[in-house]
Amino acid sequence: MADIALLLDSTRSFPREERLDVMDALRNINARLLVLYGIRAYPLCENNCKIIGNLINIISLIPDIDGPPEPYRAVKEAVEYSIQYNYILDNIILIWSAPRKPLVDLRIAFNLAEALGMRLYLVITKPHSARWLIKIINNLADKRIIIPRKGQNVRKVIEKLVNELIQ
Amino acid sequence: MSGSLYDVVYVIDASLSMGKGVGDFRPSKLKAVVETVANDASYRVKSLQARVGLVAFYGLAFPILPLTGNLELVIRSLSLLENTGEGSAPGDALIEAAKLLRGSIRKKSIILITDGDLNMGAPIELAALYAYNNNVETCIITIGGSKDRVKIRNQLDFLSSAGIIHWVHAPSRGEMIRTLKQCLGA
Repeated sequence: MADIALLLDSTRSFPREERLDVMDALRNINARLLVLYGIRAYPLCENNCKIIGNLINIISLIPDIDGPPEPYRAVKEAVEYSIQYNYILDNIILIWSAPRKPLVDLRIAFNLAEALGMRLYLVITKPHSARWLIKIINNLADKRIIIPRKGQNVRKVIEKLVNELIQ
Repeated sequence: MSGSLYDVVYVIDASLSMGKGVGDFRPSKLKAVVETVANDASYRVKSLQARVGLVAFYGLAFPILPLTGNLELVIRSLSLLENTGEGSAPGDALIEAAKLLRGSIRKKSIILITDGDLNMGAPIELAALYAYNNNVETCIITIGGSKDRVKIRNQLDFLSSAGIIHWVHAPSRGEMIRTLKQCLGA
């Protein structure tokens, strides 16, 4: 069983239907999960996340939470979880639709994750806004960016990635 | 889970509006809440061997005390609470409280006391669901005035009818004391 923290983008750039679709996909994942939501990476559920159905109902009612997403906060939540449960999450997946420069440098987020042996993956659905990011990533070792092909469903991308991580 | 033992985190609204007195919440809503929580915590620690934690919030949320059975520490921490600042972020506070309960093998509970505003931080629905998903029983007590004046009443109604929280409005101090006893099924 793999251990995964997954951050759902709550901004308008990531359509609500895709958000809910990804959540639906999580129901069938055999992994220890930490699901985070929005620009401030609020935790939604952790460990077994048995009640994903409830999450979908609630999230469908919450308006988009807009603003610059903070990948550092997602990593911080994963680190906090790991320390409090004494259990390291191996992988952090950030769905980051249209990356704007975050307040905390992305390199700090990567550094924090890697200090604990966590691998950080970025799923960028609107890469045309990500030129600044590509420049940074090209200078980082062991970079992990996934850009869905045009028309490719984000849910399928997440399912594929998670299945690879589980193996 | 360890028998009938439980852990409870009190979450206390320390925003500027809680510095005002209303009805019998005197000299201020905050001071009335702190006194009542101190009495409630004393009972739970001494008679029920509960462990107690504390979180306070205004526009920010901050854990004050991790879970402890040391009543002196609890009372001292409560006495330090003051009206801290502007804004109200009960969602953030609820999340911090749920995190304090991570790893507990006892029955887990949160009692959040507020005058019912939310204008910053995590939506209360998300925070309440996070606590619920972590098997934490959440009791939200809104205080002062009438129930209709509670700004987040629609959200609290929804969460309450979905069984995710217990919500009670306490227009008076006496009602708050009675409600605290009923919270958590304890």
